[in-house]
Amino acid sequence: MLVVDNLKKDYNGFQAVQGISFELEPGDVFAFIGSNGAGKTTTIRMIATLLEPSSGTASLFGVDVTKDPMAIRRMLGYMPDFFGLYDDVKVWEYLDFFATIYEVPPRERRKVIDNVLELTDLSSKRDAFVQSLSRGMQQRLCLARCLVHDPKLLLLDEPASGLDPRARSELKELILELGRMGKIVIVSSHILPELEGFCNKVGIVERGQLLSFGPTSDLTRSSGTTKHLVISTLGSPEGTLAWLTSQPNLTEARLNKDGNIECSLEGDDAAQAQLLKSLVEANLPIRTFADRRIDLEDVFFQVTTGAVN
Amino acid sequence: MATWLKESVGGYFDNPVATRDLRVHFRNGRIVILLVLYALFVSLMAQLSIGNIQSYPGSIASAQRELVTAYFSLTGLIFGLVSLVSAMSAAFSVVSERQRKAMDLVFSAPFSARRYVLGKVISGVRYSAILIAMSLPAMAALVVAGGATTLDVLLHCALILASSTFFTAVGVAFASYAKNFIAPLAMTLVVAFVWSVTLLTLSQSLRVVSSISAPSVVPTAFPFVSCLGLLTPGLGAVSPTQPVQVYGFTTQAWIPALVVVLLAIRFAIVAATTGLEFPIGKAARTLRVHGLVYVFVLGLIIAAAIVPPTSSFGDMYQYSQLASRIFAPVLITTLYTAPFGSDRMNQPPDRTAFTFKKILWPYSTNALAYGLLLCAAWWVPFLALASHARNGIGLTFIFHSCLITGFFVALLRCYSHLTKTTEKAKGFLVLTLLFMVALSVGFAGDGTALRLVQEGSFSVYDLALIRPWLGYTQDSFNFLPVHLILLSVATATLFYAAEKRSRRG
Repeated sequence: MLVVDNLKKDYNGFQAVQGISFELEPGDVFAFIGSNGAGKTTTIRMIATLLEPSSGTASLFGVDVTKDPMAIRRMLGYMPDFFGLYDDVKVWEYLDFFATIYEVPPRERRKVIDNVLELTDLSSKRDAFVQSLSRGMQQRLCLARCLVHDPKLLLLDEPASGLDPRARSELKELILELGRMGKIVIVSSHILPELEGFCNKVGIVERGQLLSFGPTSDLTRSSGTTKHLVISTLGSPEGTLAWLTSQPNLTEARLNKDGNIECSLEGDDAAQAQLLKSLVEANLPIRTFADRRIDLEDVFFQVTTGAVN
Repeated sequence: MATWLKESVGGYFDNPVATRDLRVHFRNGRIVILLVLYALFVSLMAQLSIGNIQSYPGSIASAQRELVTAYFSLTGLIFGLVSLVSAMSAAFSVVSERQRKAMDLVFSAPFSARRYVLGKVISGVRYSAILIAMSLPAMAALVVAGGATTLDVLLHCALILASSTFFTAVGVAFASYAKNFIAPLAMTLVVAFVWSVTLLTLSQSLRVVSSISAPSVVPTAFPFVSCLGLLTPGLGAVSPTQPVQVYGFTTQAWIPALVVVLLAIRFAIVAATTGLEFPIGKAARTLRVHGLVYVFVLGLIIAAAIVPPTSSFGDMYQYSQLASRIFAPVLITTLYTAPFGSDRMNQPPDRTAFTFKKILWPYSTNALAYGLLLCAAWWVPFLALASHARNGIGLTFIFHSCLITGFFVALLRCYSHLTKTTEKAKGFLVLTLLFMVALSVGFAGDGTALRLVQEGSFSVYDLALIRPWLGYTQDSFNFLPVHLILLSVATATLFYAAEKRSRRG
C-alpha cells in the first residue's frame, strides 16, 4: 500500500506542499484534483522520487522514497503531464530503451514490448517513428512505457489532457483495467466529470493542503453536513415548495427544469428522516424523496475557494 | 560486491543511453556529410604541410624539424576538433533532453545518474573515435614523410581520445546543471583553457626534473611545442615517448599525462552525476570526496616535480611560481565542490553544533572548513615531499594561498546570499576572478605595479599580490605582511557579514 504522511515541500521559504497525508490500497484508482499550482504535480514528483521532500514521508509497501529511491522506482510507473518523447526513435526502440532501464531481462524484452503494445492497442505501430504518431497514440505509448516493468503504483499526471473524446474513453477503459489488475493508480486531472467514472477515491488539494479525501461515493453523496435533496410531487409542486421554503433548516429550495423541487438540508441523516416524516404528516402529495446526486465538480467548487499558490 | 560489479561493468557495456544515442545519431544523414567534410579538411591540412616542406629550401635536418612541427600542428588541430565535437554533441544531447523534459522519465526509473552520464560520455567519445580513425590517413602521411614514428601516432591517438573523453565529461558535467546549450559550451572552453595552462606547467615541471635526451625523431628544440602544449593538454609540451622522472622512476611522458587525464575524467563524471542524482546530499558528499582525492593527487604530483632550490629567493620564486600556477585548479575545485547556497535551502539540523564528521555534508556553514581541508590535502603532500619549502618563506607562501582560498569562499558565501542561487553566485565569482586576474596582469604583469610601488603609490601594490597563480617577485614579496593583514581583515569581514545574514535569514 501507499502511505503518504505529512509530506511537505519548501522552496526557499515558499511552501508548495503543506503536510499532505493519505493512504491507498492495491486496486485503488485515486483522483488527485486541484487547480493549477495547487501542489498536485509537486506531490506526485515527490512520490516519484524526482523531488526530495522537505519533511514528511511517503512509503510504498514499506519502502521509504528518500531512503531507497531505487527500490521505489522499480515499483512505480510515472507518466508526467508532457510526452518527453525522443525524435528519430521507433516505437519498439522507445519501449526497448525503457525496458532496459527498468531492468527487464534481455530475453524477455521482446515479449514484454509486444504485450504492452497489445494492451495499449499500438501493435500495428511497432515500427513507426514516435513523432509520426497522433497525440492519442503518443499518450498511449507513454502509458505503455510505464507498464513495461509491471509496476505496483502508477502515477498519471494529467493523462487525458489534449485527447479527443474517443481517446479519452479508451484511456478511461485502460485505467479501469489497470485498477482491476490490482495496481494503485493515482490520476491527476482537471477533467473532473471523467474522473468520477473510474476513480474509487478522491483527494482535493488547494494551496498545498489536502482539503478533502475519501471514497468517491461518500464525497459525491454529501458534503459535510449538507444534504442535497430532490422531491417530486403528485400534481402541482407549488404548495410543497411554499411549505419547504418556510422550514428553518432548508436552503435553496427551488424548482428545477423537470418540475421537481431541489433543496439543501442543513443536518445529518436523522434530520433528513425527520423532514420526510414532517412532509408526510403535513399531507403533502410526495411522490419521491431522494438524495440529489452531486458530481465531483460540485464537490470541488464547494470544498475549494479558488485560491492557488 | 556483485551489485557494485554489475553497476560498474554495466555502466560501460550494455548502456541503454549509449545504445539509444547510437541508433538516433547515426540515423540522421547529416552526420555522414559532417564526417566527410572533416576528413577532407584534415587531409587538406596534411597535404599543405607536406607540400610546403617538399619545397623547403633549407637543410635536410631543418626540413625534418619542419616535418615534426607539421606533425605536432596537425595533432593539435585534430585534438581541438575532436574534443570540441565530442564535448558539443554530448552537452547538446543532455541539454536537449532536459529541455524536452525526457530526463524525468529516465530518472523515475531505477537507472542511476552515473550510468546516464557514462552513456552520454560514451556517445560523445564514439564521435571522437570515429574522427580519430578518419584522421589516421593524414597522420600516416606524416609518418611516411618522416615527421613521426608509428608509435608516436598510436600514443597520440590514445592521448587525444583520453583528453577528448575528459572534455566530453566536462561538457556533460556543465550540461547536467544548465538549461541551455550556450552556458555549458562556454564553461567547457574556459575549463579547457585553464586545464591547458595547468598541464603545460605540469609538463614543463616534469621536463625540469627529467634528464632530457632527445627522442629518436623529435629534435631537442621545436618552435611550436609550447603552443601545442596549450592545444593538446593530454600531451603537454613533450613528446609522448620522451623519458621523464617521477618519484625517481624513469618513465615515458604519456604515462603521467594519461594518469592525470583519467583522474580528471573520473572527477568530471562524478561532478556530472551530482547534478542529476537524488537525493542530492549523498551525491554532493561523493563529489566532495572526489574533490579531496583529486587535489591530494595533484599535490603529490606537483610536489614530486618541484626542483630543490640551491639558494635564497631566486629559487623560491622558481617553485612558488610553478606551484602557484597549479594552485588555480585547486582553487577552482574548492569553489566548485564546496557547499554553498543560502542557508535556508541547506539548513543543518543544528547549526551551532559543527563537527568534523559532517564536514562533507552539503551545508553552506561547512564551506570554510571544507575549503581548508582541501588546502590541507593540497599542501600536506607538498610540504612532505618538498622539504625545501619548509622554511619561513615557504610557510608564508602557503598561508597566503590558504587565505586567498578563504577569501574566495567568503566572497562566494556573500554572493549566495545576495543572489539566492548558488549558480548565479558562482557566475559572479568567476567574473570577479577574471576581473582580478585582468587587473593583476594589467598592473603587474608588465611590472607597472612594482614600479608604482617603488614610486610610493600605495593604491595598486596589492593587486600584484592577489595573484598567487602568477608567482612572486622579490619586490612584491616585501609587501606581503601588509597584504596578508588586509586580506585577513577582508576575509573576516566577509565571513562575518555572511554569517550574520545566515542567522537573520
